[in-house]
Amino acid sequence: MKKSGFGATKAMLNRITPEIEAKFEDANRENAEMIVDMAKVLIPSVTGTNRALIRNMPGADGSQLIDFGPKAKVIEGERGPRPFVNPAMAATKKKRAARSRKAIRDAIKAVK
Amino acid sequence: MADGYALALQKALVTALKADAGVSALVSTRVYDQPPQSATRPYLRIGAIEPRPLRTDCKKAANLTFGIEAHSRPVTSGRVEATRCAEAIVSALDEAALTVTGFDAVQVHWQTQTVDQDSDGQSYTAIVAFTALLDG
Repeated sequence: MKKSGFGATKAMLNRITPEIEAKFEDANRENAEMIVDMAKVLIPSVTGTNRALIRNMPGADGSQLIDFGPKAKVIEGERGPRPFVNPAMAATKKKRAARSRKAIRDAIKAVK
Repeated sequence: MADGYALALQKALVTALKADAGVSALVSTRVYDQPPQSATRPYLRIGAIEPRPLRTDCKKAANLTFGIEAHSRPVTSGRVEATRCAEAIVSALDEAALTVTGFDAVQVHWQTQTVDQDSDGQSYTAIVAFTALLDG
């Protein structure tokens, strides 16, 4: 396999500043919030208890852990249909991808 | 006190849904925030409204994700009635020019919908999800 251009990529990676990393984290957080909002709307729940348990938790490394609450397991099973998790993921997929792409584009512009 | 984003949007949604001929043909004026115990089905219920502030330099705005639920208990038609209600909701609200008191409704976009049988085995619930951008 021919590898070329890694030197330039490595140089760009070395120029990533904490400000750029913070922008990535913001984009990731906004994506997680978008999934959470959509799941809260789509969960088939009359009371707000299960809805309130859907939340995203930030990790120390900028990651986001989404807890869909106990209802996800009860009504969806291990491999069964996922009536509010999968639709929430699918409905937000394009916007999340666009936001991630924009964060990467901005980062490349900043370090080039 | 003036209504905030969520309540102003809810009022606008009820008005828009009741005024739409396609929705009225299916549910008459049965569009509820909290439906009465003995509500005739099918009926619509305003579901969750999740506002998120938009951080801009000079203006206030909010992105709202909201759902409209259609509750149906058909005798023979399965999920058809609930699906028809969902389609009528989409037709009434997708890219609609909503009149939201105190705010400008910049856009209302349909995102997705689900139709599922309820745990009682007789009823169906359709949930139609939208996002809205309110300015002001």
